[in-house]
Amino acid sequence: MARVRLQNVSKAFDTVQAVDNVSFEVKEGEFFSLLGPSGCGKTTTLRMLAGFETPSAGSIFFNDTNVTTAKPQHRNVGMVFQNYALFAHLSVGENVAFGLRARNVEKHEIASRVSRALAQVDLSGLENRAVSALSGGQQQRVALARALVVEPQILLLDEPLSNLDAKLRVETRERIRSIQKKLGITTFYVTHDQEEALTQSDRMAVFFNGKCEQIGTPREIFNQPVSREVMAFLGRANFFQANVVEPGLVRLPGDRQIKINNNEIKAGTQITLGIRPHHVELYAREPNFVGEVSKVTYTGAFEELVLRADELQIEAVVSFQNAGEKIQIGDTIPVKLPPEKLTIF
Amino acid sequence: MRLIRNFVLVFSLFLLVTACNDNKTTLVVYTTHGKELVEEFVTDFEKKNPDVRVYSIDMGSQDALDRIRSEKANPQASVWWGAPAPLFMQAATESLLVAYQPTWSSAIDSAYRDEENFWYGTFLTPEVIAFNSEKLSKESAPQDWDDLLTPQWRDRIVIRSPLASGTMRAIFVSRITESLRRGGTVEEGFNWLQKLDENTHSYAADQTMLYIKLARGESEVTLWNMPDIMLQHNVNNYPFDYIMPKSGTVIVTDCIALVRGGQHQQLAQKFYEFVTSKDALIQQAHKYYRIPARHDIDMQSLPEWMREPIKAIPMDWKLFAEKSNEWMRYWDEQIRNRGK
Amino acid sequence: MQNSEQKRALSISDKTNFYPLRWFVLLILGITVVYPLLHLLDRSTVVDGGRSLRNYLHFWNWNAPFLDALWGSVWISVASVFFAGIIGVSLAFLFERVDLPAKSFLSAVATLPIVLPPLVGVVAFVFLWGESGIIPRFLQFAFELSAPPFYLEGLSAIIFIHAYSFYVYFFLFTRAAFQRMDGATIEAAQSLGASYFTILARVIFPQLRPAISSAAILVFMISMASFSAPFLFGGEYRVLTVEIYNSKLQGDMPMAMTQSVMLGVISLLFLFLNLQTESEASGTGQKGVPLPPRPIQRVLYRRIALFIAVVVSLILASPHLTLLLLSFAQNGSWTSQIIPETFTLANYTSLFFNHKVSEPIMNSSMMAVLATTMNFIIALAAAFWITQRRWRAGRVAEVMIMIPWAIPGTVVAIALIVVFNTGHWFTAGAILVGSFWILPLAYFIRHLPIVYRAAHAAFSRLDPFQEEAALSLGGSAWLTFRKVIFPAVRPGVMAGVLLAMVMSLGEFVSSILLYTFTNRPISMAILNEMRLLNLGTAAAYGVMLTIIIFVITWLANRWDE
Repeated sequence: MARVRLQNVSKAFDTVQAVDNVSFEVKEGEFFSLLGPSGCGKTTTLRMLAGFETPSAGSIFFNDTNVTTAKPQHRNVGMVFQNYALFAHLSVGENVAFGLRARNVEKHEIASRVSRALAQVDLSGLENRAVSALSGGQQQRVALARALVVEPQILLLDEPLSNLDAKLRVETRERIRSIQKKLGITTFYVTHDQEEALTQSDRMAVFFNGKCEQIGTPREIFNQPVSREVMAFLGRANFFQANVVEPGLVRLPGDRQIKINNNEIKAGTQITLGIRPHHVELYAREPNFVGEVSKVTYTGAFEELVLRADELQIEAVVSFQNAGEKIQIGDTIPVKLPPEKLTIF
Repeated sequence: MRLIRNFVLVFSLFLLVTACNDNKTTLVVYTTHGKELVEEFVTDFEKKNPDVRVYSIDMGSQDALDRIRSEKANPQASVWWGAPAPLFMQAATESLLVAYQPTWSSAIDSAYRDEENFWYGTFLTPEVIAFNSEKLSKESAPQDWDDLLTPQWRDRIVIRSPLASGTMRAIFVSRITESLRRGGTVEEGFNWLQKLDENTHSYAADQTMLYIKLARGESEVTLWNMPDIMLQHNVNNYPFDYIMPKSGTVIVTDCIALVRGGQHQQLAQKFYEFVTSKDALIQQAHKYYRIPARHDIDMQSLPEWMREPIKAIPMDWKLFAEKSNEWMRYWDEQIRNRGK
Repeated sequence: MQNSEQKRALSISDKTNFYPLRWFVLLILGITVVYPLLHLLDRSTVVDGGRSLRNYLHFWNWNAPFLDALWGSVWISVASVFFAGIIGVSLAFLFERVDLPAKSFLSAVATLPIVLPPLVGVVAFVFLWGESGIIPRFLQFAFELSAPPFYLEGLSAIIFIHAYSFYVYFFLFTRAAFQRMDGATIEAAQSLGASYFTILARVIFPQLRPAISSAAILVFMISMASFSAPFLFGGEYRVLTVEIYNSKLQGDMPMAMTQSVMLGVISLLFLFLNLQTESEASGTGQKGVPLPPRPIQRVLYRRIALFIAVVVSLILASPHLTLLLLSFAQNGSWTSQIIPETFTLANYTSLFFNHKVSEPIMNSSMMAVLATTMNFIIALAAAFWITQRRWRAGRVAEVMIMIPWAIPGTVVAIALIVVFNTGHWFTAGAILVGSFWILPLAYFIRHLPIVYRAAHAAFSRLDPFQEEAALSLGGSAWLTFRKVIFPAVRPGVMAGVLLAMVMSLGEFVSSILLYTFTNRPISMAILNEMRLLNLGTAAAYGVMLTIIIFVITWLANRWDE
């Protein structure tokens, strides 16, 4: 198990700056997610950890060893690829044994370790199957077993769930997490799905345009995003332009004044307020304003509303326990933006 | 995939086994005399010299010259056995040959040998008018060169494409030199060839196509050398016969020479002597219709038909060597198929 | 997700994976492909020791037959494209648009010309369709005519053979295009009320056009390079390849070189054109996997189509059958009869037990193995670096590899003669002309593009993550190549290798100019047996070669699946 430290790592492809001055440290046994949209640099960062790319600048340390330019085969990492990259000409067992063979592990030991690794992913007895005879979920588990059997210092997962259907995803996600916890292996998990990142990470990093925007626990990042982009990426959110009237009080468009939990910002400053739909209080006793329902979407467990108050547009969520009667377009609902739920940028 | 491995393994073993040849000295002979004749003498020679393996490569005469020329820097053959004298003359001027005076050098007319011993004649080969004996008889076939030009034979003649054939070159060029000898011009000679072209049904790409076309009666008449026609008639039972042209014919000297830079020169000389010995020549005369060029062979030991003299038309072989390329090129560019 | 270019950029392994071998590949290509051709060009402009274009001026002399030959080549090629195209495209229609019974058998028959080596095929045609061939003779006899009603010779024969041999390209290309075609487009046109001919002209044909035009250019190139048909059948008709051979035979090397350069330049022009259309064709691909068009089911059409297919199959198989028949004929026994009447097994026994007869088979096998092994190594290495690594010199190497694809065998042979008539440092001073090695070298050069294309295709299909997965599991570069990369590309590469092997076994065009007694190949043995009128032996060689080729092709197809 290893500590991993990235120190001012950058990577440029020709003219494109794929990763721009990224630094972070990951503790032993931590489950660390790299989250961000396509092309944000998260995959490149993972590939630098694996050794498939060399940083243009900066250093990477496993424990205290500088591995910046070490070859992939000397890093002792396990990687699960998005498309699994199973060797189609080898059987399940041979796939799993590949890394052990490369390490010149003795034959009888290979056999026992392979069967243990397969047992770990509930694929016992499938050693001699052809890879192509397995389902997508099973292939994914073979890939995981193959990466884990060599007892890597770190485990790298590159969008491992993206080729699975929704139900399998949740199941596999939980399996990965439980195996990871049991083995206590330092794990990097690349995903563009915020739910995956939030549900299983110990900590996570959010990437935009090659930069690491924020690092923290899922809770920190979800609740205290450092930027509007991070907040928007992690889930649905309402954003308002506001003008600080006096410390603790801002004016929204339409001359509506609301309170914020911050007294340090000077009067006259332009700020952006963010609030997640489920934090918007409806039917509030002390409403900030009244909104008119312009759209209702039924999603099963709750209803999503879009409310209008002049030029303000607010997304909100109503669970059925709260809704007294059926909400219709044109209904007016009192709305409150609780100060403690507002994020200020 | 194991299949591939086994396949490759077996295949390479197979190659290995077959590649393991005996350690005999190899002598390479380029020849134009056909498999039957050559193989008989090669086998005899190998019997007498058990540590020698003779590779005889049979090919057209022009092909042989070209090969020796191409391989000038890295000669493969040691002996060149067979092809008309002009080709040997050309080879000698291109210094492709090495001089050798055979033991029987005094027994041959000076016309049939090189002054500097580069080559010696082995056989005298008369060119004849050959015909398909199922379609024509000795009486109904054309009797002389000029008969071929009459309308009667229009589209009934097949000609071996002359560029690559020493035999055909000799015949074609002899038509031009005949014209010159009779005080005519080169143009008159070409005129003759043009008329022949008009009567020609097709040109055969090689000797085989010529035989096939003649044997199957695609065409009834051709011009070729006498020994080959007789050999095909007797060995392969092809319906061939020939007419010795009344006005005389060109007699080509078939020669033998040693190749410059060829390996095992001494062995090559031995082979040279072996195939041109009296006994060999007599055998070749009987079995393969070859008229020996040596004049010291007892007439009684030769086949009967050979004892009659053949009416030869004189050929200036020097002029032939000098001009034949130019003339043949002219023919190729200006006459071939132009009359149609 | 990053774009795939970036994902493929294995910058680290770049520096470690057998890096110096790249320069070895470039060196080999430079020596074997580029240098001989440039040297040929250079030497063709030397007259009497000085620079001159005199050879070329003679070439362009309007009265000279060389121009005849150029036109002859072009004209034959155009006609070959036309007829091969008609046959190939119609057969493809028959197979794809009509629900034929016994389709897989018939389509195997349809590719029969591929397993007929060029020289052998021409020989079979002579005996089948020639003036005294079996079919004209039979018709003459059957209808008691005084002369055969028709027969093939000269121009018509060449074009007939070309159409027979080359239609396969049109057939295969068009079929592949059909299978890629979106059947919904036809249904859409039908639902819009279009007649069948409108659909054919406006919907189907435009979708097939890229495939047809690639096939046309390919067939044109092959026809320009064709040697055996005009050589054996041409007689009076001049084509460039045979003229080159004749010039060489006359000892007129400068003219042979000039003609070779001319033919080479024309061929390269078409290679360029071909690459152009290929990139266009690949640019029009659709997304997803569309349903191929549904074939016509009507019983009447099916019966007519089946009848046509059977007749065509018989014609296609006829050269093979002729060859088989002749291979049992006693040498010299077949003269004026319709078919040979005395049969023997002697031709085959001599093939195996007569040392002089079996030797060419050994020679050809040995040379084919040698040449193909080198092809395999160079093509594999080049394809690996070009597809798997960002190799800057890769484009150059690719062009060098593809050049021999366009250059006719005759030209390759002339270039080799010109270059290897003297010693070089890279041959350790040895003169290759006249030695055993010149033919394997020629085969290597000629068939490199085949193996390269196969390797390139196989590598392009390779998932780049496989290599990374192996590396990250601790596999060394060599282990990764051996255990992961190579096994993944092996079927495709081996198919190319076997194809090259097949072509080397039957190679004739450059062999006739380069062979020597130590390496006399099967094709020259056949030619020589023909010269000596041993038609049976020649046919037995042909049958043997055809069987070997058939077996290897079959194996190649199996492995490629």
